[in-house]
Amino acid sequence: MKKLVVRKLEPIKTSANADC
Amino acid sequence: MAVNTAESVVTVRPFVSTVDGSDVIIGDTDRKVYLAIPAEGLDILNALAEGRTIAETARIYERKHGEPVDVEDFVAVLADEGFVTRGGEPEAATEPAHQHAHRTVKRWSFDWIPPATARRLTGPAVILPGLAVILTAVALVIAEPGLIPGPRVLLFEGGNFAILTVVSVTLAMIGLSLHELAHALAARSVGVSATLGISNLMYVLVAQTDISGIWMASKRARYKAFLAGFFVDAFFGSLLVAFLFATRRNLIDVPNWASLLASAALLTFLVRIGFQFFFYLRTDVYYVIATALNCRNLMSDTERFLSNGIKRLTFRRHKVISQAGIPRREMRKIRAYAAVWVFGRVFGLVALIFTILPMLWVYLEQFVLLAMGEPTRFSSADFATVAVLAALLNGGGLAMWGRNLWRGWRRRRVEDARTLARQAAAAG
Repeated sequence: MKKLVVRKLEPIKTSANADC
Repeated sequence: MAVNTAESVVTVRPFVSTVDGSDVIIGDTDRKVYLAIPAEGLDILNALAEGRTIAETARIYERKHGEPVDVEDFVAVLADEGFVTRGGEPEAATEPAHQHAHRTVKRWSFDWIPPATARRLTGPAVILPGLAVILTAVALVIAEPGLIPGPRVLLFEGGNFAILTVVSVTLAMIGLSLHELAHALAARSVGVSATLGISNLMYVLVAQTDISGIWMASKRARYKAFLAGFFVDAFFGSLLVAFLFATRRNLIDVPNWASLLASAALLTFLVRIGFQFFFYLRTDVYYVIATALNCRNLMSDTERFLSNGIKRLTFRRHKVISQAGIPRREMRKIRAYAAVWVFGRVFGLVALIFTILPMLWVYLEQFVLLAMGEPTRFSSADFATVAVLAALLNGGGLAMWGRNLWRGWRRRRVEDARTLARQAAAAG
């Protein structure tokens, strides 16, 4: 029996460092 | 876990969908959860949404495609991700359910920005003049390489150290807000929700904009959203380069503190641009690479690949989470990125142990002496300023890292147990 593959997509969170 | 019987009907929560290659991406925009499913999965989901039972849906599929499909397993996975609720079960949670458990302190929404305004602000009328400014600055730096500041500029020699440090940190915070606003504007220009929060990448404290909905947009729109931060950093950095060039050539006459401050501000823009290239973390360059490689979740898949490897080495094969659903071509990319992941983590830890912790130790020691009423270096305004800032920014990053590692580990344990149970059920 065929199984359908479900893939969770990654969260997209852009970052900027605050420690410069 | 409730069992779906073939005759049961499920409730499909509202979702959005878009075609992406041979897959369909479905999303719950409220919870910011996005899944890639085979195109025929959308037919199944639509049939279920019309109120057909699981068995009816399976029959429709078999008639259309000529082979039977495991609808119950498909529904079980979608239920775990909150896209369907089964009869008699409470409504799925409505909190965002990122598997990364990367909690942020609080989030502010950019969704009040109308897409039309965002489109104008991220359109060619802004980008082309901006690129001209950036190219001009590059030419100036080539003509005069001394314009690029070294770390010494942060000593503010010949200026009031404490005041200039506080002002330049303030400028850095404004710069970082502009960087994140740029990502948010690019997302809003295609109607995608954007929320700002504070989080960490390893031990680095970061401002973070969640634009997960960009999965529903074209690849071109995704690249634009990832590169928008670079664009504003390069643009404002270029204005500072032009200012410094003019002062060095005596084209304009400014007080010493102004050029000291401009050099320090330029350094923070350059450091922010440089940080994005640490692509072993989820930085802008990481997202560009992951998108170019067509990876669905390069970071988490890599972490799972590595943890599976450790489980195999430590004779816990029964705990391995199957990655059989990942296409072979993508698995090759994951294996290659695993080397980057490991090397990057080692590099980050070495930097932490040999530079950041010794520096924080110096400050911590003085804080302890102060608390004990001993004489300290805090009598110097310069030392006090830097100590407080370093403790807040670096200490904040470390504390958040520790908290998120713990939460992520706990959440992964729960999710792995659920996945293993499903694997066992599917194999049995």
